[in-house]
Amino acid sequence: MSFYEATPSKALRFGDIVSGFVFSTTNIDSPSESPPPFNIEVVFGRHAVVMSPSCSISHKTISLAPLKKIDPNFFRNPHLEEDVTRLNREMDPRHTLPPQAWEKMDEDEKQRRLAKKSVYIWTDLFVYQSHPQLPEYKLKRGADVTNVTLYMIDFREIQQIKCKGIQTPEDSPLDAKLLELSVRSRADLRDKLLAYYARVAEEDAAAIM
Amino acid sequence: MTKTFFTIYDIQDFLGQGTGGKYEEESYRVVDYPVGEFVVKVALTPSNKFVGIIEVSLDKDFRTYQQKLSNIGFEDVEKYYRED
Repeated sequence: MSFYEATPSKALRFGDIVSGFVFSTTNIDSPSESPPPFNIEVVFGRHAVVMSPSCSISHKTISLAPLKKIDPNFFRNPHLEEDVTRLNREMDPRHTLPPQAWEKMDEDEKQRRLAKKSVYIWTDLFVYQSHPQLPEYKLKRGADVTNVTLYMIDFREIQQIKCKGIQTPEDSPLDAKLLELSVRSRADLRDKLLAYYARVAEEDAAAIM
Repeated sequence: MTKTFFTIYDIQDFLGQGTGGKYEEESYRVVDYPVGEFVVKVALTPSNKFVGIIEVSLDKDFRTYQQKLSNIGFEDVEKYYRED
């Protein structure tokens, strides 16, 4: 099944790539009771991914995560070099590391990892496959520099955007919609986001047990 | 020569290790290839030479969300990907 939907729907959907929104990041040194010194970075022009479930795209509010350039270090792992979107799904523990790192690992650590059967890595991230509609940029991999349209999102960067035009998934600025995920890719995104939030701290797990 | 394998023990027999012998991970690696609605697990040597097909399965996770949530595994691998 392909990564993107060949005939996108006329509605904003979870996982869609959109453009034209404005993003802001607030920076402070530490919180305090009175307003601390702060600065706000404002960025326009970044492509982004819809992170609101469709039924929550309403009332002039949407959650978006900006697209960011892929980390070239992923390609140290041949399993990811073949298909970097494998990072979006659980994988065999043997495929999670560059081969040299796996070979150097002691046997006890290997067995601990293998006991997990399949795992997520880079739990904060989701990779978007190349597409000609996405802006090209130069990616440096060792001595090589190639033009790519591979991107990723970081779940830690999801932010709320208020937009008057957003009333329902169908009654929204659909001109902003560039690409839609296929059903399978959308399920992968949903599953990985679920996993991101489902991690339980060890102390909580012990208390629950 | 090609051969279709249906279990990991067939692979071990083919490689001369037999069932009950020590499983040597270095002999081959297993890669998943999506083909339509199926996933084909293919065995390759470390130099990417085709060994055989280990398994063909439906590309579908039949677990409920509750089952998935209770079984999710994670590994923090960032330090293994940093530049030397």
